[in-house]
Amino acid sequence: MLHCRLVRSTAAHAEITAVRTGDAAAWPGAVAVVTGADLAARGDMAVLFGPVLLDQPVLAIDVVRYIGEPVAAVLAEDPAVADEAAALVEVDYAHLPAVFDAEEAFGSDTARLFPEPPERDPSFVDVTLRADHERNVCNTFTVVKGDVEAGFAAADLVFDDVFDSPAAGAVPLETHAVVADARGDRLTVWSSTQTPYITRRQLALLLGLPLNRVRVIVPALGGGFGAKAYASVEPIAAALSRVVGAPVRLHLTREEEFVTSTKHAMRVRIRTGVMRDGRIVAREATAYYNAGAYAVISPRKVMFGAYGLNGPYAIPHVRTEAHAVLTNTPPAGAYRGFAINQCAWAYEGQLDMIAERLGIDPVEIRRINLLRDGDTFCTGETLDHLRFHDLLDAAAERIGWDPDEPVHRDGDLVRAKGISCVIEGTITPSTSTATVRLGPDGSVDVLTSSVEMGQGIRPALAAGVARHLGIDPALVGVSYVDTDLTPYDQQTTASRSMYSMGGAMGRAADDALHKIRELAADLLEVDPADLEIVDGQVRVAGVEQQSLSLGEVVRRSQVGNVIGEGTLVTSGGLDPFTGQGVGSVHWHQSVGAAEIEVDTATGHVRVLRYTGGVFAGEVVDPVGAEHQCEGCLVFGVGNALMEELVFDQGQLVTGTLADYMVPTLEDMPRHHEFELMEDPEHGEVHGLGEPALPPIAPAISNALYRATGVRIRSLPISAEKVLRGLRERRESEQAAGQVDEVTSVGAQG
Amino acid sequence: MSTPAFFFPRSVAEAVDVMDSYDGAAKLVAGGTALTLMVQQRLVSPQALVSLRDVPGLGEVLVDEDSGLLRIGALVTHAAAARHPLVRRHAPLLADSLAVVGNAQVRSAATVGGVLAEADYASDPPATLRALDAEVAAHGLAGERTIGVGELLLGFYQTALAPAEVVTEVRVPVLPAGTGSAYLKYTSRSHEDRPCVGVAAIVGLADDGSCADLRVAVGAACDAPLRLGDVEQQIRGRRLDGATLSEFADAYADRIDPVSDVRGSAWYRREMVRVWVRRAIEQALLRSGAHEHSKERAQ
Amino acid sequence: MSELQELPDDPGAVKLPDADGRVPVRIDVNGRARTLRVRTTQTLLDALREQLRLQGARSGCGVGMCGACTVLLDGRAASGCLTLAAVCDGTDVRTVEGLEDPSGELSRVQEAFLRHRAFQCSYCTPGFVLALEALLAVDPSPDEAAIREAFSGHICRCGSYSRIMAAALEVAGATDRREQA
Repeated sequence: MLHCRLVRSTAAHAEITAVRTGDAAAWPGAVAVVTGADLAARGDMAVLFGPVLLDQPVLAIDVVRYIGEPVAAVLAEDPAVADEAAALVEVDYAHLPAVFDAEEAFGSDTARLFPEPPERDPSFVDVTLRADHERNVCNTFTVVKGDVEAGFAAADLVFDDVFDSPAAGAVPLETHAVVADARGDRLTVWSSTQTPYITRRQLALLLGLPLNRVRVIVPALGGGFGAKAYASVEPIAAALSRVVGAPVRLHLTREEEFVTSTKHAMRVRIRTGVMRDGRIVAREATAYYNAGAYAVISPRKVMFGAYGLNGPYAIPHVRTEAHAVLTNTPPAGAYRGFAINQCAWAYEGQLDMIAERLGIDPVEIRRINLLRDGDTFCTGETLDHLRFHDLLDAAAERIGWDPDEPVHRDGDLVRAKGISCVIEGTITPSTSTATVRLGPDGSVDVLTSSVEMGQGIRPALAAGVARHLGIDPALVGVSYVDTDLTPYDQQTTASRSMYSMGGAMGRAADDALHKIRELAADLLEVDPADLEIVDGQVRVAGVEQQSLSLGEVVRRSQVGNVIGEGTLVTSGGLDPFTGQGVGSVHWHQSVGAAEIEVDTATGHVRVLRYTGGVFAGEVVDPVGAEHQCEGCLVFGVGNALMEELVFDQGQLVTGTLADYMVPTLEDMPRHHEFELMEDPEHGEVHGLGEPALPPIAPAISNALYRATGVRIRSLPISAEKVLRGLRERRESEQAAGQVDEVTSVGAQG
Repeated sequence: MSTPAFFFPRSVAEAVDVMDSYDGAAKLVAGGTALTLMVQQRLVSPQALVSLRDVPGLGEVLVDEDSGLLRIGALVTHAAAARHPLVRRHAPLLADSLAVVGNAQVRSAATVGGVLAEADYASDPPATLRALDAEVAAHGLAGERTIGVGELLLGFYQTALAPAEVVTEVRVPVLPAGTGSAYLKYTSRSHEDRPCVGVAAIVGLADDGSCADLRVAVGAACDAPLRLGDVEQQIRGRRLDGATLSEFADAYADRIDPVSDVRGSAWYRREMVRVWVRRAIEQALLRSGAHEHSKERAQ
Repeated sequence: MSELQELPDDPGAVKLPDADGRVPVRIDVNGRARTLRVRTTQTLLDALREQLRLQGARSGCGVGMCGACTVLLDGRAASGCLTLAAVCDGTDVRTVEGLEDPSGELSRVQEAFLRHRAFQCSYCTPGFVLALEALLAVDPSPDEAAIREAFSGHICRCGSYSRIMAAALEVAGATDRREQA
């Protein structure tokens, strides 16, 4: 097996004028040095990939579009040799105009990333593209409901604000890793991907192989959080393996991980029209999601972003638009809270400013506006099973919300509470398939292509299947992913697995039980309709003595095993020009409340307590659910207070975990709890990977606002921004005080 | 880019000789935490690595009654020094700063000699050692010399040490009884971030409550720990009331030339110097003998 | 190598790299004496993973911030990524693979982590487990503050901190607030 070390671009946007590989190739132990031009010259593989647009080169060809883009690969048996040789590759660049900010890149006159629009991946059909590469736009999505101008005309007050979210890193503790073996007429890939079947399709397209000759095997991942969705390192390893005719391993360093997939930076201008009684009557928003240099999944992200900006409120007149804009920064990809964190940061922050201006309590203004059953969402869907009001009231009670509570002061330290509410969709349409296999000893194999990355999908599926079959969960084994063996699943993202794969699994279990019933009927010489299956035992209804365990049925009927299959396909989709249609098969509903303490001398914010509430439908694995919520809290506290990929002219300056901070044990609130609201009659199981996350940063920011009057519009809420806010506020208060004095003097005169 | 040789000298003199033979191309390895990082990140490419592991006598902690010095061997780790009874008794300020460096794994490897020889501006102990008027003993080709920490630390990762000079000991003057001291580390982001600002303060009060001794060093905010001797002098004999402390903190804030990075801009660092100098002195006052006396009286 | 001509007569133990740039190192790993040939710039983490195929210590950050690479080096918790393998000559190294007793029984720290399901992806788990083992070796009943201190330099990105603390407090014999609540 050969180890790969990548030579990465040091230019943000440039033509490659020369790649000198001679010294590296001659380095003792170096087996091969490969460039993008080398791959293109072979003619036996495609050299561009991407889940929606085929815009990303396996290795850069002619042009580099961000600092950190792979330009050449060095292969050696000893990884240290590959490291050394890679340092000897020299690349010459002729710099091109570069652009880093999404709003600047939008229609930029100077910088353009793609002179020609890239081709589409033909199999990616569920997104209608409104790409405009002349303007650096890889997609735009618009949602229109009612008549927004009429809404603003009727409003008593209109609030107009700009909010920013920075790029951030998902920081799975295990970085991307892949081994690819393209020897012979097959490709086998051991990958850390969250999207095995999409990755298989992407690799088949790249190497010109039928799907059944590409095998993607996915062991347990050391975290994913979205960053490992869609092919990234896999095409490089696969192409190189074909070049050298040997298995190739690529394991990214932390520095490389940071420039491989990021959370979208986003800027949004949000205008909200309200009546004096607190009702929101109109909202218009324009968002610029910074896609980085390649589209990846940004074309879909803007759909979530556009309807996401509506928020969980019943607003009669809405027009939102989200652009995914290409810039000379690392590609942005999927990230926990897919596009919604950025929306919530804006609309929930603005709502507390509105509440303050109107003299309405923040909890009350949400009660006034939150969606209720029967309300029409901005997508035209009539919503039901809404629990927002219950979630809000419960969260307010847990945090001890009191509209008249004074801010607590202790010297420089000030304490206060904040609250926020968020709606989020799950990926729709979506498909999962599953197989349940009953063995003659009563044990059960579950074959699934859901990826285990620490979110606990395997124990959750085991628990679900065991409950369905009425057997001990210890008898259930859940597979890891191997596309040669485990059936199709769309992807492990978007908190969809419990709903989608869980649903497919239930159907597979039902299918298996149906076959068991038929077999048992033969064995017992009764009509299948007379049989019941209770607690893993098949028996003639009402006759407890004549019962057979599931394993006995399999064994005695000599069928070897009983295989049940299940598929869950959801349908829907939205029109990209109007946003009308079916946005989500069900809606994640989430509320958060934080109590914070701010040191007014330094601006430093600490989260003392946090409580969240999520509508879970039904909780299958309580410990796993608790884990997912605490995981959201790690991301929420990080996003709120410290996480930011800082770039200087496209060069990442927070590229190590000594510079990029993620929350440690001491950074977490000492007290936190989550309510997982259930409604078993609802008959749905909702994924919990993301819903608890988006309310966290705005809740913290709203608490700071209540504590100090300082409104932070740009994440993270750094101590320095808070201190500047406190100073500005003090100065403006002093200025206002002087004005008042002058006025009063004038009045006397 | 050949692999460096690795030496394990058995005496300081041998270490100096090996270092000298490589004429600046060799690197000393003490705790190894910083050096390993630099080698991995290719910030340095030494021809030889020289471990002090087998050099005896560099791991002692003792108090020299005659000179009034606490002497800490260069290879004593942060963790060992921080919990050592002699360090805790005679230089609690130093123990406090060693106890908050990095994390537990770093502290159990990094050494008190190494942290000074590396001259990392963003570490905690240099400021406390500067405030304590500590010195290092260094062995070189010309034998041993002592260097005040203020003269040793020249700037970012820059020291007054010769290439073949080895720090063997850190010498800390024992503070008079009743002196109060405090080290306050301020991290602006994660709790485990490197400091945005670190301030070491030492306060001694006269019987009449006026300031007999005030020493303050600010670390992590500029190239090397900042001490303003003239400002310290001016404050002696005065009462340390709020206005005086503000004046003192303002002087540090006004005269520092702060770094600007993701932990805080130059403006922010200046403001934080203003806040934390004052807080460190207030904390030191609480721990001073005068305060203990007043507590006793109150009881 | 021209530099060597100027070397003193007895420079102590010197390790000159061979043609492959490697030097021999003797390390007692999980109770077994091993001789490795390592590059002088190679980290202990790398040597354990690549040469001994011990995958329990993981690479997470490479800068000593995340704790995933923690091993016990002569009994104390050490970052494998900040330790040169060459200076570990003659030391005793224990990885998470070496915690179970000869009969295959897990340590009580491991058992507690399992019982509390104190992990999600488990990439960080060996680091937390070894940090606690190192603490318990010097302080059999640490309080919460001491445990938090031992867990500094350990990141759990999945967010299992509450259950990790609960498991640790149980092993420490301290009051487990979770169970009480």
